[in-house]
Amino acid sequence: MQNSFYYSLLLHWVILISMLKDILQIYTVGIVLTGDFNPAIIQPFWLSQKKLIGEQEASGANVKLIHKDLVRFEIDWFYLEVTKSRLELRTSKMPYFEPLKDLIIGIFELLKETPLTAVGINHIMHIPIREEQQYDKLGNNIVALSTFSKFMRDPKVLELQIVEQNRKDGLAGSLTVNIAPSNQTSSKRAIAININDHYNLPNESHGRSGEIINLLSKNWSNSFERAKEISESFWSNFVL
Amino acid sequence: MNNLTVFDKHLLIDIPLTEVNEKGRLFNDNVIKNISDDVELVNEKKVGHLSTLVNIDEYEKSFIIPEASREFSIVTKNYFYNAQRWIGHITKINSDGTFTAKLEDLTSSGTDEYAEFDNREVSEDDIEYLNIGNVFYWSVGYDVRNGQVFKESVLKFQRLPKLTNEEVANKIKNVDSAVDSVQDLIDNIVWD
Repeated sequence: MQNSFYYSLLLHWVILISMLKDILQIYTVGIVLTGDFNPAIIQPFWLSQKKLIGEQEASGANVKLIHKDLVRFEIDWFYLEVTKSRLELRTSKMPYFEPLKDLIIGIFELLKETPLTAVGINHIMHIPIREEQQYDKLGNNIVALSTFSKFMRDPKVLELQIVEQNRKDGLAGSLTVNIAPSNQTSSKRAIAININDHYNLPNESHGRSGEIINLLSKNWSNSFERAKEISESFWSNFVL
Repeated sequence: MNNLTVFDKHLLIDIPLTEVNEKGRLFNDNVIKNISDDVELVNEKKVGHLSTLVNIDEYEKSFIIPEASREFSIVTKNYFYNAQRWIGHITKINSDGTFTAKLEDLTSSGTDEYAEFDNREVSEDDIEYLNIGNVFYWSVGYDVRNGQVFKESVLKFQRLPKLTNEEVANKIKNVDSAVDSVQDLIDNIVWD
């Protein structure tokens, strides 16, 4: 009897978890690097010439701007923006999450001498909430809004940000979770769970020996696991 | 608290002037200035000294400013969701226009599987990678393009720069060195 109770609880939990995966509408993954860049190098035809993307992909690029201080373009499956101090590469297409990482590794395998100081793996999940009641209750589930009712009329939570400044895994960096409303989905009511998994250059490193790219490569899968755990935990604890 | 690698909500040139974002505005101004310095002087007119007008030099200049789109928005119109994803390693190229691959499930853990794919599923850009041992990513899910949903299968080959012989030798040397270190550790274990 007890076993069947625990079994039904486990089944209920499995159903809850699988529900988030099915409800998640837009999952954007982005890699942001800080360092010392020469934006004008990283253009579609350079990437194609180095076989990091295909020729047809490069030909179809939507180039917004190419300038010595700023390069910005889009290809079917990714968006790239480079300034002298920051590079951002992002996709909202799940089949291309791994190729995104490969592209960064490829670029900095070729530009070995580029000093890099930090990397952030960003996971942004946009989740529609169908039930109006669920959405309205969400703020109160996260924060005790009754505390603010004394001073404000009908207080609402606009944004929640939680940060881990000393990483649990002991690596230099931080983990930031930001939860806010989303206007990206087809639903009028949606939330965005934005997780920034940030890694700094290890102490006594100069950033020219591939340290940051190694960090990206080694922690890529763990970052996804962590993002999945955080989002599913939030979903089951505060939304359902 | 670090926010260097967080996505900016409003990026660079797109920051509205009324937004209170000092860092963004300063950068924006700097980029605009640099672009302005590079613009091409198209038209210049001078009112000559024979004119009956008061002798004031007048210049008319037109600038062509490189097109920097201000329409970019972080709103995502095109995305692919609810994807099942695998990493494939090609094990065999078949004579009937197909290839066989060992698949490792990225979405949920489980045993590896083997599947056969039609060569026509490989895009033209990736055909040169259709060789035994090469790695590809396979995903099945829903692609949304400007609101229209397409059920799709996407196959993309892994592209990483080829290492030179020297780089391969260095990596082997690093592995050898790591193995030696492990061996030293094992040798120094004292069992009670």
